[in-house]
Amino acid sequence: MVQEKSFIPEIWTQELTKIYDRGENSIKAVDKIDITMKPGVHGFLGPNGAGKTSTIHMLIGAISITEGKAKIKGEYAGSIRARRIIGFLPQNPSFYDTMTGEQYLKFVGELSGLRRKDAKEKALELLGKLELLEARDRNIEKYSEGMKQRIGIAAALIHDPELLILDEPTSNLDPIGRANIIKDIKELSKKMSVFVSSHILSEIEQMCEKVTIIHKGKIVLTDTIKNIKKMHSIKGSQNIVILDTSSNEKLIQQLNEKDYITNAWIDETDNKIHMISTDIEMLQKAIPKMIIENNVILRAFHQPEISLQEIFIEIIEDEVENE
Amino acid sequence: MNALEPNPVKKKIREIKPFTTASITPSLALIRKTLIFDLCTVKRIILSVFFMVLVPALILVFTPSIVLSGEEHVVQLLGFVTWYYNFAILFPIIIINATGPLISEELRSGTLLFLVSKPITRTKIILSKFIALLVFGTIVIILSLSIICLIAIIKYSFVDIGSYLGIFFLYGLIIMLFFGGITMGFSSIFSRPRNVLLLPLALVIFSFLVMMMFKPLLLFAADNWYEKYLLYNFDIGYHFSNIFLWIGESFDPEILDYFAMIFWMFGITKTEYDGWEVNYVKTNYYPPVVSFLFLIGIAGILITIGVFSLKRRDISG
Repeated sequence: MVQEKSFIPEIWTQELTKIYDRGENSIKAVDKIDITMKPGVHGFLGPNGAGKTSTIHMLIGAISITEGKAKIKGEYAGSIRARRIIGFLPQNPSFYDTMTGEQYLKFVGELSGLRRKDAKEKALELLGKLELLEARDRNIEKYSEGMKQRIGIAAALIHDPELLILDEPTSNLDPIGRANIIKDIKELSKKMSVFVSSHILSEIEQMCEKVTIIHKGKIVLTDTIKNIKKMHSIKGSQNIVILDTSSNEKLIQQLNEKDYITNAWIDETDNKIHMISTDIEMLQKAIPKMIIENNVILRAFHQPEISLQEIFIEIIEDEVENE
Repeated sequence: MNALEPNPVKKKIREIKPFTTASITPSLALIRKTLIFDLCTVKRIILSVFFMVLVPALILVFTPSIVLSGEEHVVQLLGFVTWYYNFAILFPIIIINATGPLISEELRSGTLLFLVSKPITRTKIILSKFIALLVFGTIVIILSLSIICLIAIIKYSFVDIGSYLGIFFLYGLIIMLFFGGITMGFSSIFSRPRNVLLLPLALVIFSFLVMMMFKPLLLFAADNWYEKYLLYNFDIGYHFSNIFLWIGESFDPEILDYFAMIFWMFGITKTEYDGWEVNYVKTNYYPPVVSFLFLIGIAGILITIGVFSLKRRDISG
């Protein structure tokens, strides 16, 4: 893969590989992965142990690259120039517990190259934005998990990075904390690109336009969520249709008599009619007629949308079967 | 220009991103943070200074004034205890204890992962922490010696307070460079804080306690095994004493006479019997500057190994 001259990707990797050499038991954590991330929010998905964190740690320069190349906005990953561009939130961020929130952010600001005065201004601004202003003089060890995650995000943002790399930002958080972090990430994505890893797919679905799915160190899929869903709905659930009316029982027998319906039943999970049809167009023409003839009210008539979670499970199961 | 509009020049300046050139701000920030939050904690400073002052202060307080009736030398009165108890045993322990966790604790707790994601090289991380350690050690030396000297001045009008301060300040700096350097090296090489502390502490115990106990046996052996088997080459205590004598003589030429027996135990002098009495003569195994370069070299090599070790290390939190 050759990097295009006119377009500098936010993240670009070529056959990026990480092997942990532990004597006889060498572990290939990342296996020749190619990523080209365009501006926006990019999700990095994979089950636990898939190689997400190892990839991120190579991108930030914390661990060495065994083989391949990685660049951040055209700068080699791990170089000082690349590290100036990124803001990073680790999976389980650790803090200097004896520091207060404000002291910590000021320190991180200066560590990122801001002058002392600017670091202080920026720290106060971020503490305000992330609703930590009241706790700014409290030691970080006394912060809740949610507050710690927010101070971690503030630390990643203090030097106005161009690319934010978040490793499992919602892990260890309660549902409200998760919702708040997702809201913050969505807000941040208006100003900068975000590369976010997670195994909680519903969250990724809310935040990202494009995702890369990694399994056992290898990329198994990379595309926009829209395309992935389109591709998988064609692949898996093209014949399923859901119908909901004011009297589902009244219609079920008639539906089962149609030639183009293989099976129709009232599903226990939602009390709606689920049908498998061999001719969707025919069905779409027939349903309005049936509604009028039977004098029932139409509540819903659609094909089920497959969730990213279902697609993910399907992909991983396919991968396991192919091994 | 409308008074309410922001100044465009100032606005432009504000928009400038940090790091247009190489910046020393990250290193300074790390030095300051290490010094204030890790090393110069009130508890650590008070405890360090208290134990550094304790024994010399007790000696000063309990020495009867009647024996201090002439032109007294504080170097003679407190020299041995400051040299041996303070700067051979206690101060190295303080420095080792302070240096040990500087890198290894960051590795253990996971804070180093965040630190290495910031635009500061790993070499600068080690050097910044080492500089902070040197500042901390200097503060402890100055505070301790100042308090000892203050008590000495209150007790009696010693004539050589300046010499005492000069000798032990310079000697303390060398002790700090050596033990700080080797511990910093170990701190970057080993992950467990316990292992980091163990090796330099073992060196202190071996060089200044075990060797002190067994050296007279070697020296008294029929043909001076210490000299015959060139054991002084490996004796850190010898090299430190060689440097101590070098510094001491430049401030007080009589220092060798004050502590002749102690210098003999460290291999700096040997005994010669001229038919009338036993005389101590210098062994001159090495010029003091060589001992100095030898010790600083060891510390420098270990710091360099530490830098390379940390550079190669995968840090994953």
